[in-house]
Amino acid sequence: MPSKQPRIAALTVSVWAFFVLGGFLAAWHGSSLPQGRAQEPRPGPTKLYFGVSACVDCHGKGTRLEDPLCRCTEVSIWEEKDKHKDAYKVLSEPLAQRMGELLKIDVLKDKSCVSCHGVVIQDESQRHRSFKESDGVSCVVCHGPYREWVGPHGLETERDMWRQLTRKEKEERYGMTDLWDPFKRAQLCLSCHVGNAAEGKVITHDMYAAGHPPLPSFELATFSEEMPRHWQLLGEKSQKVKALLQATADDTRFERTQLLLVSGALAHGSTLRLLEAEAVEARWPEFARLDCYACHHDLQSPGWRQDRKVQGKPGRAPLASWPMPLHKLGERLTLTREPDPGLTALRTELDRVPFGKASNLREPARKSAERSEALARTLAARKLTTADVLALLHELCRIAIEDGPDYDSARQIAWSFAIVHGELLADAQRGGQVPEAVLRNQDQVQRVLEELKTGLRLKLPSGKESITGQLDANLKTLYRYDPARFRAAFAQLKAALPPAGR
Amino acid sequence: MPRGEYGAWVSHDKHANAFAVLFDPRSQRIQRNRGVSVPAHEDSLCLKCHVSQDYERERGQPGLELADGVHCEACHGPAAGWLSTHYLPSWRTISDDAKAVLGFRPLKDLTVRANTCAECHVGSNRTGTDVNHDLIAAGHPRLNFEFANYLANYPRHWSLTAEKQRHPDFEARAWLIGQLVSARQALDLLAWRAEQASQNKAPWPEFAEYDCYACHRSLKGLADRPVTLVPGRMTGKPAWNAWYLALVPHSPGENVERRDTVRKLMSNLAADEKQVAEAARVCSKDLQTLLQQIDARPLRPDQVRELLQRVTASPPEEAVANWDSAAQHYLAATALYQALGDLGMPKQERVSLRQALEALRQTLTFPKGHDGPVGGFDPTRAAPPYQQLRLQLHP
Repeated sequence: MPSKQPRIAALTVSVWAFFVLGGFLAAWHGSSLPQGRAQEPRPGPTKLYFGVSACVDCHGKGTRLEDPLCRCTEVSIWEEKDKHKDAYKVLSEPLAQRMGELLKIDVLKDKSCVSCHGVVIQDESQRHRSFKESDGVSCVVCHGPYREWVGPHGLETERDMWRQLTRKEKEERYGMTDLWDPFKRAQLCLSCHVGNAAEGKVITHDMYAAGHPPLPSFELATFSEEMPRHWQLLGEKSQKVKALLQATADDTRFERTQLLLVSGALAHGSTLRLLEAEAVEARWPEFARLDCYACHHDLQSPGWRQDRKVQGKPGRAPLASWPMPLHKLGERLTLTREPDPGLTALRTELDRVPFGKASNLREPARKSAERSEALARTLAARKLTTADVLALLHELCRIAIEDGPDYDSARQIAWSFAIVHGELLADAQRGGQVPEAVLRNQDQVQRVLEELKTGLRLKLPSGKESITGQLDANLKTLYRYDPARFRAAFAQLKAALPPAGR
Repeated sequence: MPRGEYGAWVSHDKHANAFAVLFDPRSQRIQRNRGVSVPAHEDSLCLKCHVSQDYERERGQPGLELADGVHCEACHGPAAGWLSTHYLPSWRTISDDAKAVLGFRPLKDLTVRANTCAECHVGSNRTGTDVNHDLIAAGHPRLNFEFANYLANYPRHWSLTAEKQRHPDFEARAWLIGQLVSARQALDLLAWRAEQASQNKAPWPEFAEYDCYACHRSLKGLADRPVTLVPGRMTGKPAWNAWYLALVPHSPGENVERRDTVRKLMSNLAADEKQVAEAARVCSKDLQTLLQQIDARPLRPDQVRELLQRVTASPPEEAVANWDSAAQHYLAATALYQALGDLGMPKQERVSLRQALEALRQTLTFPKGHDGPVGGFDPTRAAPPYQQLRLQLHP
């Protein structure tokens, strides 16, 4: 067996390495190992779904290495605090079981559920013996279900080789997903948190009506913090590790803001990609592709909905509005001024006849999605400056005050302001040049953000808090949402900013 | 005949104010939301109900005073042929048909009266009067017409005593005729809407055909109310028209599948408009047949009681599954309760039925500032009073 050689080598190095190896060997024994050495991988990695038990031996015990690529506490954090671990388990709970009865499906097996709540293995030969359904959204879902990288990335004998590889090589040749690329990370997270038709991750109105909690709006930088993160930000890592990950100081100054911008643009794109895929005559109208709250509101008069700027034709269901503010934010930063013909055509069609005609929706949805994806790539490559970040804060205030956002959009805006403003202050602490007003008014801003946090329930049911347990309070907050108060809060935030630079 | 008709109408009747409301801020907002530049008081879509269902014919004629709103001739018919004779003793000797030839609408006939009201209060394929979802979304109130209860609340400019002398079963008869006429009118309107939509002249699906509160409910109460399946209905799909057909009986010998055909077609939002139009027309004819079969002889107390038992026969999970059906059950029971009262119901029973009805009514009202139930209609609140009513009538 080719693995014997490294095993003997490892034993002679240290007791610590023995444990590392023990884990890997245990993991590897479940499948036939690739022939040949890891340095000469076959073209393109081989799909193989490992279970968490294959990772826990190293990633659950901490490390004494200097400059570790990771802290080896990842599985512990994930197991103790992260909901993704429970994603499959919740399918056994009464709400999910009831959904199964109504939809006449086995929620523990049906692809429409498991695609997001766990792992769907198409080909049984790709199931490693360590794999367990009950692991939920486990390591391989995000980091890459491929055989080749799992071995070398931790083996002492191969680690040096591994560390010399670029992120691109690790991904393309070994199958380890490059999650440091904000575009890829956002795409991955959005594939469940918005949906991805090609991967079978599609939430439908039937699923909602049967009881699935409403998918909330999604802001990646905030959601990542709340998982909670089991990784360090690039900026928190040592110079040496930064270099290994090809990250410069410019990349790390405003990395969360960048993530926010990229995922903001891509959320819009993912929403429209999903619409494009679902706009087929046999399934259309699929209500879940449109704005939930266009219909799901009480008939209240007077009410803030009636005081809004007229948005499209009354009585027609529009696109979900929550991805718009952050998409706009990206356009503002890249000084995109050309109108979006795809989006305009899409809105016109949805206004023309109720739900539009499926065949008239696909093309404009695709065009607008492509544009968002291009925007996301541009934003992912951008080196953000202090001026950029200040402009973003101003733009968030403008959107909040002028656009009359609904509850989900308001949360996107408030989350974003907190992230961007926080990073600006952190940058100042590291010696970055920040206008004096930002420092002077930081307590005031903090106070308003705290108010927003309570008023809008910005704190996610993170960690092990139950989503269904908080559903009632969340829906009631949505119900009580008052855009006038939101606008007033942002007027205060705007007043606390230095004057807009451009 | 009392001479105060005009006085009663002008001072108490909303119809007299129907044109004036077109100048209200609400009317202005509706037009603005619709993206229409014509003001409401000049828009024939509005005037067809707010002045006269025959506005298209009447417009421009000398003597038409828009400010009168829904004026005498709007209901009684164009008066040129009978104005100078209808108060003469000889008028009473003329048959209804002969009067109709002169343009006079014999509103004493409850079917004629219900038809007249329904043209505006339900909508009309004949005149293209349609409060559709576009208009409602722009700010117009939803229409949900129930003839007997509208009449009961109407500030009459005629004698109720005379009416009840003509029809001792008046309340029950008005209810029955009103149900059939409204449902037929609604089906005709559906056929018209579908037909128009097939020519791209009207929106489709037409949401005014569906249960408003199935969609228009905040999700506030979602977490503490389990999802329940209404028999025959998929979750997540809108349900068709509980209002007009919740209680309408089938005629003897009618193929009951016909109404199910419409229901099935309408539960598919992508249904072919022409098929819908055809199926709706067939059902409408069935109802017209049933309407013509209504016996001219007054209903006896035992027949009214039987009717009341029939409208409370369904179990709560069907009867009060949604607001529209629950409200129709309440309104039916109220009208028939009144009829039984007129025909001599024992006082003790009257008191207990009234209590049950009032308890049911309270579960159906909307809070101030709302045009629908908050957080969706809750059938579990309406079920106990309905069940109480049912048990009293089915000992």
